[in-house]
Order: sequence, then C-alpha cells, then structure tokens
Amino acid sequence: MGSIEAAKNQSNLQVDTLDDPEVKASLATLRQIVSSCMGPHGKIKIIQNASGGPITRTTTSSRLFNSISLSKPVLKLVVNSVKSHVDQFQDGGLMACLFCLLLVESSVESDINRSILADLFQVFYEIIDDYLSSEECACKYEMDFSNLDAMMAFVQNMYDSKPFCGLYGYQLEEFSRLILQTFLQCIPDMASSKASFYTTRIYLLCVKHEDMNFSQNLSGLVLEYPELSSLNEKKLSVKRSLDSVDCDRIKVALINCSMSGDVESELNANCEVATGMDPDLFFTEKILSFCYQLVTKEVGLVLCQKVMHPRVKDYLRSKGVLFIDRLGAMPIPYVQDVTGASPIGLLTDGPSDGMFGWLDQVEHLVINNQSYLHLQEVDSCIITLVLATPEDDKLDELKTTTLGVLRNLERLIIQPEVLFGGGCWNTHIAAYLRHHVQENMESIAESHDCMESMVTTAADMFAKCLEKIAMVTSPEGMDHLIDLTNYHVWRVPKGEIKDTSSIVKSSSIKCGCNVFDSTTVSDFRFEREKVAAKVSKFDPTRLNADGISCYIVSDSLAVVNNALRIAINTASSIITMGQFIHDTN
Amino acid sequence: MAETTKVTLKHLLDISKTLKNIVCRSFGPRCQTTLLATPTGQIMVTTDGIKILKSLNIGHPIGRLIVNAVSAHHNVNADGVKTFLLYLCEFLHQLDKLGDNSPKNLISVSKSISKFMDEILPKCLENFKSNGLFELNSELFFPLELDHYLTDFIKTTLTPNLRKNQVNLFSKLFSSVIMNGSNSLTKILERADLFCDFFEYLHVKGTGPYSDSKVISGFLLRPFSCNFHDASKSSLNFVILRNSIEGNKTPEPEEVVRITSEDSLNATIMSPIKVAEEFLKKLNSSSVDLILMSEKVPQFVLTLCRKYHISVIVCLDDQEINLVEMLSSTPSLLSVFEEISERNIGQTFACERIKFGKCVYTNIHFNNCLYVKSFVLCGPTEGLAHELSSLIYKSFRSIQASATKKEASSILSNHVTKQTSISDTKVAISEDLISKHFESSSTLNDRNSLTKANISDAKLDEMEARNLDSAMFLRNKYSSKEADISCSQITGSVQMKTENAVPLPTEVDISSASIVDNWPQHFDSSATINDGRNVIEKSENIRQESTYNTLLLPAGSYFEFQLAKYIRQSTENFKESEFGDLGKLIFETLLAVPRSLHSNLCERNSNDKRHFLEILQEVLNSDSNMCLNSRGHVYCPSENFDTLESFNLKMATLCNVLQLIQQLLRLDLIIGVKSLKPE
Repeated sequence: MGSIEAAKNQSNLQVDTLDDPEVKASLATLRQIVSSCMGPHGKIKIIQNASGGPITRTTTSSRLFNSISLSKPVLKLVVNSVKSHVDQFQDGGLMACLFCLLLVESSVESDINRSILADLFQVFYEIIDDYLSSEECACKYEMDFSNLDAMMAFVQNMYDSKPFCGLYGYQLEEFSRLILQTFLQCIPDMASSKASFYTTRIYLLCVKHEDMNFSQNLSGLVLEYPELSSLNEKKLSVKRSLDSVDCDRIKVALINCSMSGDVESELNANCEVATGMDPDLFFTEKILSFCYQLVTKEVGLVLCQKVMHPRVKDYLRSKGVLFIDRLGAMPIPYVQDVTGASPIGLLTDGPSDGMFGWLDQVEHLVINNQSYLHLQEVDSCIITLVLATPEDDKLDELKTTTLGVLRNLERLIIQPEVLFGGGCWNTHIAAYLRHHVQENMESIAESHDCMESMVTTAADMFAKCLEKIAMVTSPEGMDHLIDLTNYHVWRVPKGEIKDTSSIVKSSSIKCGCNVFDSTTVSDFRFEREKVAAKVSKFDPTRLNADGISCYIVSDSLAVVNNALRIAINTASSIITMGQFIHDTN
Repeated sequence: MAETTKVTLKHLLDISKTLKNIVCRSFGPRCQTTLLATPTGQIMVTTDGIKILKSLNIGHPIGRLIVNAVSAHHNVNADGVKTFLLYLCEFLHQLDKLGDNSPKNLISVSKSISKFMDEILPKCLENFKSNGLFELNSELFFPLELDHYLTDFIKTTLTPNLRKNQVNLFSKLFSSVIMNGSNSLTKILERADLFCDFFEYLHVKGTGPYSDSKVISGFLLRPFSCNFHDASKSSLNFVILRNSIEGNKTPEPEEVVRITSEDSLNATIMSPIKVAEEFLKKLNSSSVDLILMSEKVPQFVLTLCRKYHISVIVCLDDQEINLVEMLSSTPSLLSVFEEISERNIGQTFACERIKFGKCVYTNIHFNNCLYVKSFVLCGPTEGLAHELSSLIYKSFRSIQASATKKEASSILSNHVTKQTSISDTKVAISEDLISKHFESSSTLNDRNSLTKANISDAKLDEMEARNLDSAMFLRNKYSSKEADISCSQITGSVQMKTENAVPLPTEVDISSASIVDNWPQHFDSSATINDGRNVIEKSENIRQESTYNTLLLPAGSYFEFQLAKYIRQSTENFKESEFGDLGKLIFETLLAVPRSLHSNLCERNSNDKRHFLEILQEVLNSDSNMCLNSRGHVYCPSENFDTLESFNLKMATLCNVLQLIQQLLRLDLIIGVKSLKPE
C-alpha cells in the first residue's frame, strides 16, 4: 500500500518576546532549578516524565538536561549551548547555565539598548579573559603535580559538589585517592615503547555492589566472560608462546569480522543452493581452517568483536585456546591498546605475525556474581576502573562525575592553572572588572557609541551576576561579605555580623576557597551593599604555589573560561532576539 | 465549488505590513534576531529575512505571491529581502494615503511604473557615477585598498548578525580566504565562485566559542577509515575511485546468488577478495599511498590495505569527488578494473589528521592549488554555527552578485529597460549563452504586462518550452550527462510557476537566471567526466573571458537619499504632470529605508521622529552627498566610511519591487477552489 505525504498545514504562529511574563517566568524557573543544584549544598532533583516513566535523581548538568524536556524555545537554546560546553568539558555546565540565565534576566530588567548591552558583554568577557590568562591574575595558581595534597583537594572538591554521588568524609577521601591514583598510573612512561593510544587509557567498568568501597582499579583490561562460572574464580591455564624477544607470553588474536559462518550475511545476498550443498558448513570449514592456523601459530586467546559459530568455539576449546566473542565495538580500541594487536578482518587468508598482540597474564575474576576475564600486560598503562554503587541511578551519576574529574585532571597536564574556588574567583574578577572598566571608561564608551553611564551600569550588572553565582553555592542562612584587599568571598551565619568592623581577626576564619584568613585582610563590605562608583585601587595579594594547603577549594581555569564564554555568547544571542516565532501547527 | 474574494489595496497593504512587521525587526546593524521554533522542536536563530519568510509557511495567496517574489529576488541577489519588504509596504501605504483606491487609478499607477522605469531610472546611474560610486577593479586599486574595500563590504553583511568583535574576526578570516595574496578582482571573483559552488565542502562546523573559528589552508575531508601509509613520507600519491574496492558498487538489496557446487561457492566468496587484492597490488606497484573513494569498505579490505600500506578515506559524495578532481586535476577511476595511468595518480604535499572539538578531519593540500583554504566555523550551539555558515556563504554570494561585466552602463540599461536581473549579466560563459538567455528572459518579460486573467495554458506551455529550449541548449553545449540536472531544475522551476498561476516578472527572471546561475556545477561536473585537467584550465579562465567590476556605495541609506534627491529634481519637485505623483510615491518609498535605519541606530527615545525629519531636511537641502553613520547622525561619506554596499543589489531591489507592485495593483479577484469532501 502506498502512502502519500500530507501537505504541510498552514502555520499557526505564536509570537513571543523576551519581555512576555510567561517567558520571564520560565527563565526564572530554570534558574531556580539550576542554582539549587549547585555546589556541595546543592539539592538533588528527581525528574520523571508526565506519563510516569522512570525517575532520574541528579545534580549534574549533563544528566539533568538530558532528562528534562523543555517547551520554550528560548530555554532550549540555553540548554543546547550548555550541552555543547558539557560535551567538551564534562564540568561547569550548571555554572554556565546559571550565568547565562542571570545575564538574560538582568538585561531584560535593564533599560539599556540590548544590542549595545550584548556588545558590552563581549567587551567584559575579553577583559576577564585577558586578566585570567595574564601573569597579573591574583585568583589563580599553577597546579603542581608533585603536590599530592593540592591534587587530592581538587579531586575531592569535584566529588563534594555532587551530593548524589553519596561520598562523604572518609569515603570521599578514599574514593578521591583511588581516582587520583588511577589517573597517575595511566600516564604513560616517557620511555614507554608505545607512542600513541587509541583510547584515554582508563576503561570504566560499572558494577552494582552494596559497598561503594568495592570500587577499585585494576591494571589491564577487565572484560565480561560468560564462558566460565560466575560463582567461583577459576585458575586458568592459557597456552603461552615465545615472543620476539624470547619472553614467555600469551599471543592474542583480535578479530573484528563475524565468525558465525553465515554465508548470506557475508555475501550480503540471498543464496539459492543446489540440493545437498550446505554453504554455511563450507564457510564454517574455512573459518575452522583459519582457526587451525591460529592454533599452529600458538595463539592463546582469541577475541572476537562479533559472533562465533559453536563449532568454532568447540574447536578452540578443544585446542585449549581461550576466546571471548560478542565483544562489541566499544572495548576494541582498549584491547588494541592493552595487547598491541591489530584487528583481523579477513578469515580466508592466513594472519600475518605483525597483527597479533601479547599479554603477560590472563586471569578469571568474579565480581558481584559476574564472570570476567582480566587481561594483564605490564608495560601497558591501561587501567580498568571498577565503579561500584548499590543503585543504577547513583552509578550513572558517579560515572558522569568520574568522567568529568578524569577529564579535568587530563586537562591539567596541558594547562595546569586553577582558580580559587568556593566563589572567590567570581567576586575577585567582578571587582577587577569594575575597576578595569572605570579605568578605561572613555575608550569603551567611545568604541561602542554609548554613554559612560551605560557602560558603568552594564559592568555593574555583569559583576553582580558573577557575584550571585558565588552566593548560590552557600548553605542557607548565610550572610556574604567581600574583603576589600583580595576581593574573596566570606560566609558568616546570618545576622551574626551587623557591622563589618566587628569581624574578629582570627586565623580560623577563612574565605570561601580557604586560602586567606581574616588576619590577612583589612576591610570588608557586605555583598548586598552598593559598590562605590569609583574603585580606587586594585592590588590583591599574589600567592605562589607554596602557600597552597590541602584544604584549598579550586576550579579548573580552562573549564571556567569556556563556561563564561559560552554563557556570554548565548546570553548575547538571546537578548538581541526581537521575537520568538513558534509554529504550533 | 469556487469562491471569489475581491482584492483591494487594503488587503495588499495589510498583508505586506504583516510580513514587514515580522521580518523587519531584523533590519539594520543594531537589529534584533528572530528565533523560529518548529512544532518538532527545532530552533533557528536568524536575521536572514528569507529564512524567516520561508519558515512562516504563509498560506494566503497574496502572501505567497509576495514571498515567492521576494525569494526569487533573493535567489539572484543573495540579499535585500528586508529592503524589498520595506519598499513594498511603504509604497502601498503611500498609495493608500492618497485616497483614490479605484481600480482605474491603480491601473494607471501600474502603467506609469513601467514608463518610470524606462525613462527615469536608467539616467540615475550617471548621477551616481558622478556622486560617490566606488568602482572596484584590479586596475584601479592596490591590493591593500582592494582588501580594505572588500572588508568594508563584507562587514555590512555581517554586522546585523554578529557582535562587533565577531564581525572583525570573520571579516578578517573572510578577506584572508578571498584575497590570499591576490590583487586581482577577477581572481577574487573566481574564488567567490568556487566558494559559492562548493561551500558545503570548503567549511566545517563545530560547537564552541565564535573565537575558535579559523581558516586553514588546504581542504578538509572526512577522517581516514584506515591510516596505513608510511608516516615518514611527506608527499602522498593518491587515486580517486568512484566505486568500491571489491568490484561491485552497492549490491542489489534482494540479490540472489545461485550456488551449485563447492567450487562456485568458493569462487563467490573469494571473488571480491581477489578483486580487492589485485587492485591494491596494482596501486602498490604504482606507489599509491591513499585512496579517496565514494563507497564504504568492508573489514576484509581494511586488512588488505594494511598489508599493502595503503590508507583509505571513504564515503565521499559525488560533489566532493568532483571538487577533489577539480582541485587536484586528477580524473577519478570509475572501476577497479580500469588501467591506472599516470594522470590518474594525484599528489598531495601534506595530508594530516586534525581534530576540531569532537570531530576528526583529514587536511589535504593538493600540489597545484595552494590558494584553497577552508573555514572552520564555531558557534555556541549547532544552530548558531549553522547560522554562521550561512552568513559566510551569503557573503560570498553577495560578492558574486555585486560583480558586473565592465560595460556597466549597458548592463544597467539592460537591467532597467529589459527588466532582467543584474546578476544575469555576470554569467557570461559565451556570447551564445547570453544571447539565448536574453532571448528567453525578454520573451518572458513581454508577458509581464499580461494580467492574471489573460494567461492561457497555452502560453504557460510556451514558457515552459522556452525554458526547456535553454536546457537543451546547455545539454548540447556541454554534451554531458550532467546537463540532465539542469534540465530537471529548469522544469522544476517552471512547474513552480505554473502552480502559482501568476507569472511574476521576478520569478521569470529567476527561472531564466537559474539556468545560468548554476552553470559552474554543470560545467565542472560534466567536464570532469571527460577530463579533469581540462576543467582546471577552463575554470581558471572563466572569469578572464571578460573583465569584471563591482560597484559599491557607502552604506547608511546613501543610495536612497541620493536617488530620492534625484527623483525630486527630475520630476521638478513632483510638479511634472507625467511622473509627478509617482515620483512622490517612490520618493516616500525610498525614504522608508533611512527612516527604519535611523530608528534602529538611535537609542530608543521619543525624539526619534523629529530628529529624523531634521536629518532629512539637512540631507535633501544639502549640495553634498550625505548618509547616516553608525550612531544615526548624518555625515559626508567622501571623508571616511567603514561600510559599503552593492549598488547592483540596491538597484535590483528597487526594480523588482516596482515590478511586483505593477502586478499587485492589477490583481482583481482571488478565486479559491474548494474540493468537495467525499461523503
């Protein structure tokens, strides 16, 4: 029966603008959701669709945005932008989203021409970007890889700000240590024979386990192995042979084509067969003769991406060759990295010696009633990180967070700069921006054909948005102070301090990032106070890496920089939109 | 059942006003963008008038008529949609204000438009030539100056869509691609042609900040399927294959293989392997390191490629292969059984794997086309990156459309009197083609004066036949398979017209122009099948056959102000009996653009209108030529200016609007045919 595509119906257009109360309300709702997820005191969100589907609990941006579906086009635009940032950095999504929404909301409230405002936002970003990448920047330090305390603090911070991972106290410390250890182990030795890898060298294996402390790292690769019992670990005797330097090792063949013996799928055609002929049998024989060649070449382990014919399995079993079939495409690059094998795609030709890989040891493992094969190779720096949690939902959250942590650590090798976290970099660069804009007021106003008062208002609005991000990560019932020396943020219980001069100078009172104590700063202001139009001087203390304690809270500079950029670009696009046309038909 | 609705001026005005109100929010350098969302949830953020109009999916016949006319105008000129609507709406508004809406009066206005276009407009070029028209050609300008003018011109296109620093970035990138050390306008136009035809393959899009966008030299292909060539080699030999390595192109979906014996089965299984091995062996002996091919490769071929140290890049589409053939002057192999001669083997001097964001590409530099560069365009979201790429494409199209053959005056008179679009003239592949083209367009234009009611089916058939004639001509000219495409495209466009049933002059222009507008593709693809090298020689000579120039004007309503002044003068302050009233109408129509621009540039305040009237008085009474600057104040552009726009575009827009109005004023009835629902 044929079908005729229905002609496109006439449009039924709904035209909104950014000033519509409904649009404003939807922006505020998303802002509230995002801001309440942020930081160590963030609240976990439960997401379920209207028809009662599965529930997702999360505080991470990637899982949050993947589970909610938005109806307002403007929100979709924000979320899509943030997703593009998260895809690349796997961190800082909530911050980017919140900053973007704050900028949009305050622009809507403001009476400055939005096109000029969008241009000014770009100027402010450039000022911040220049400052953050300059030597002058006093809110960053260079991560020293030999300072394990600082590295640990960095990892712990990231897990700490994802409360649904459920890591606290001792468990948090242990888990962070495990991740850091895994990361350091997978860095290849300079003298390593292998120059390039197909993978990131860390294979994540997620298992359901009652005890989160069961999470561990195993050198080599752990693959599912349903061939053996999933109750007891069995001692395996694998055929060994001598490699090119006469070491006794296990020869591995990696096959990425089907060994099922199905002629029709091989030829990609239907067969019309004469009576008495069995093409599948004929083809299986060909595969068997290929296996025979593997056996004669003393292969000990055959790994096949696709399906193996039972006769092929029987044959290999009878010859004492271990095998895994149905590996799938995902672990293949890891197998290539750990064994050094090249995938074989042609079964009618004898494999050449260069295509085989080598392993030092193969062991049978049982984890949570599942049978696994542990492929070990001393020289490879492939690590299997086993993540264990009791629930699927938590496992996903832990996996997402761990990927983000590993990605951040990896990036630190290339760009080792980190910012003072806990809201301190936000207030610091907000103060810098105010100061810099005041200093260069004339040139900014002139190059953008606008009045100086407009620039001041826009800069203040922008700085306020930055400061607001610092505030949302605090627990409830806190007052926020900003010191006037380093411009870091200080949190005190609400109502405890009425007057900034009454703050006790003590080394136990620390700023948001735990770098400075109240003895090192001279004066404070309340965050809610209006900032004096003229910031007279900006001369904060510059720390060197030695002053970094193990309690420091830090954020990756690369992530923050990109998140700010994405947020500003998106906010600029949104505020210059005159109308949202929605075809509802 | 038929239902009739009377068409009045009020209808026309209402519909054009609605369209204008939606689209013209995005008019001017400080405009607002429009976010369009489809029912399926796709989002598009744009300031591109034509995109907004098309996605509105207008149902009203008059609305559709206007949208079709605007898109026809856009197809040729690549820009000017919002100005088009502003002119249209203002003209109808002014006409409505006059009060006499009787059909008799409307028809008399319609008639006098033709006369006005014949008699007054052609004279205005001379006026512009003596008043600040910049004529760009390689003889008159130093490279730096040429670069400067082009950058200013591109900035005008980019400004409404991007922020200031982004405009600077992209205009620099753009000029680095199109100038690339060249000082000749002809070369620049050739490059614009290349980018317009193959833009899809000369850029890649990614998500990320705008500032990550860049230009890289060479050409970007999809990543290696396998990378087995000798890494120490600095230059690679490659072949292009339009078939699969194992012999047969894509197999039939329901192919049946008859197997009678083990031998035949063995032969069936082994034959593709043998064919692939033979071919790879042959390549290996000819020292080929790389295969660029149109099909996929199965796993066993990759294993064989490893054996012979040959790398493969797969799944290139037809157009991409055409481009590679053209750039590298290497004809492709149509089958693996073909003899590989020396000319089938091309050379690249660099071929490396590069990564942008999540995507991996192969960057290839062909030995004999060092000037080719590719864009890497980044936007915060996929949609914004896509928008950016269409903006860059639009810039190339504007450059292409702004160029005319050097005999500008004759072209302009052609444009105005024959009412063919200006860009038609740039397509001058041969005198034959031009004469044929003009023949077809002028015949079609004769039909412009016909009203809807007078058009018979027979005449439409005749139009179609004429277009087909042109296609046949193309087919004969290049004697290639590819001409079929042009033929079908032309028939397609004619069908579009017959469906609409009202032959708009602008549409007619387009249909005839589209024959030639697409010519480089026909030309390239057809000729590459015969001989790749031949193509290169020809493509390099394309623009040299005649000298081109580009007429530019300062932006900021310079065109409108000067033309309005000129019309006032030539109609003796609108007192002349023949064109006085129409002159006044067009005068007011032209001023709609500076009025909108002024309110766009000025910050919102209540004195806008008064300020504009003051400006208008100043400009109209001044002896010098003035226009608006970026703050919405008047200035004299002869001193300094930083934005330029195409004179051709402006003129084409005005002419096309006037032609459309001519048609609209003669509309009488809408006859709607309702289908009876089966019971």
